[in-house]
Amino acid sequence: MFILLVLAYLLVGCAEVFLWETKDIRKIGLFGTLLIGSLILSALMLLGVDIPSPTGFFEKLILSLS
Amino acid sequence: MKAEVISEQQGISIVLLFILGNALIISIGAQAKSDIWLAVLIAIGMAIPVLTLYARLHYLLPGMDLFDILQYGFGSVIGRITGLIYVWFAFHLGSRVLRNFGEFIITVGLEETPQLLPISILAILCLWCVKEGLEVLGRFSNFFTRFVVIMVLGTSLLLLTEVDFSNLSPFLYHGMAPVTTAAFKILTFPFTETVIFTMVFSNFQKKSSPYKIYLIGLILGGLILFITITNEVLVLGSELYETSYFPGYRAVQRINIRNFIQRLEILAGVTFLISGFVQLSICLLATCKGLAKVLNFDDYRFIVTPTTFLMVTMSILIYNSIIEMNRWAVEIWPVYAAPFQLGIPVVLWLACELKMKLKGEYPA
Repeated sequence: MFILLVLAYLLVGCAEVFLWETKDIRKIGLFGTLLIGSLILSALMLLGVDIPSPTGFFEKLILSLS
Repeated sequence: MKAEVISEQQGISIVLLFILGNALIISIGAQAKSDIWLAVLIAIGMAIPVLTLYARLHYLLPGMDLFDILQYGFGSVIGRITGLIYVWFAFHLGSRVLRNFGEFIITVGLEETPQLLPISILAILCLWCVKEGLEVLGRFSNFFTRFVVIMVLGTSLLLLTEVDFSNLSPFLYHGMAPVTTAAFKILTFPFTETVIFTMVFSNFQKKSSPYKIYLIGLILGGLILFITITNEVLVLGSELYETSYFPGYRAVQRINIRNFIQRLEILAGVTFLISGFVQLSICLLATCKGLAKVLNFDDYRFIVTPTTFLMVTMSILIYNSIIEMNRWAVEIWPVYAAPFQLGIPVVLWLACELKMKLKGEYPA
C-alpha cells in the first residue's frame, strides 16, 4: 500500500511537470517540496502514526486565554 | 500574473455562494436560542462596515490583491510575513470546509465509506476549477446561484406546514448578552470569512465594483441565511437546532406534503455541494495565489495540485471527530479568525490611507 502511494504521487508529480511549457527549477523545487510534504503526511496516516492536529496549538492557546 | 477580470454579477454570485457554503448546514449562533433571527440581523449589520473596509482596500489600490496591498502598506518584509499568515488562514479554512463536507456525507449518507473518498472527489473537482481560473469559477457561480437560491427558498416554503411559531418565543428571555455573542460568532463565520476575497479579487470591471460585489453579495447571502436559519429554528425548535450537527438537512427531512412531496433532503445535499464547492475553490485559489505571490512567482497554477493534496491530508488530520469539528466551529473559530478578519485589515486600511495621503496618491 505504501509503495502504491509513493508511485501514485510520483506519477502525478512527473506527469504534471512533464506537461509544463517552461520547466523553471524554482517552480519544480516548490512543487516538489509541497508534494513531498503531502506524501510524508499521507504515508504517516497510512501507517497509522498518531499525528497531533496542527490546529491543536491554536486551540490550547485560545482556551488558555479565555 | 495574468489579470483575471470578473463581472459584477459573477462577483456577487461568488460572494453569495461563499457565504452560504458551510453556514447552510452547520448550526451557527445556536446560543441565542429562540432569538437567533435577531442575532443574524445584527451580524449582517455588523458585517456591512467590515466588508465596506475590504472593498475600500480594493478601491484605494486597484489591480492589487491583499498580498500586494500588505506589501504596500507594511513594507516588503512584514508584508510578506503577514501574507504567509494569510496563506495559512486560507489553507486552514479550505481544510475545514473540506472536512465539513466529508463529515456531512459520512453522517447523512455514505456511513460505510471512508471519509477520504468524498473529500478527494470534491478536492479533485476544485483542483480542476482552480486551474481554469477565477473567470471560470465566476461563470459557474453565476449559473448555479439561481439554482441554489430557488432550492433554498423553495424548501423554506415547503416547510411552512411544519412551522411552529411558538419556537421563536420567549423573546429576549436571557437578555441581549447571548444574542450579541451569537451575532459576533455569526459575523466571523460566515460573513467576514469573505476576507478571503481580498486575496482572490484584484481586477474589477468598474472602479465602484468592489463595493457592489461585497455589499450586495453580503446582503443577499445574509438574507437567504436569515430565512434558512429562522425557518430551521421554527421547524426544529432552538434545542434541536443547537444539538443537531446538520440542522438544515434535518429540517428539510421533515417536508412531507400529502405523502407526495417528500424526501427532499437530497436538495439540501446538492445545495451544500454547490456552495461548498465554490467556497473550497476560493480557499484553494487564495492559498495558491498567496503562496505564489509571497514567494515571487509569476503564476499560481503550478502549485494547485500539491496544495490540493496537502489540503486533503490536512482536512483528515485537523479534527479527530465530528464533535471536535463542531466545537471548533462554535467555540474556537470566532476568536481564532477575528485577527485575520477584523484586526489586520483595519490596521492595513489605516496604513494604506496614511501612506497614500502622505504620498499624495489618493484616488480621484
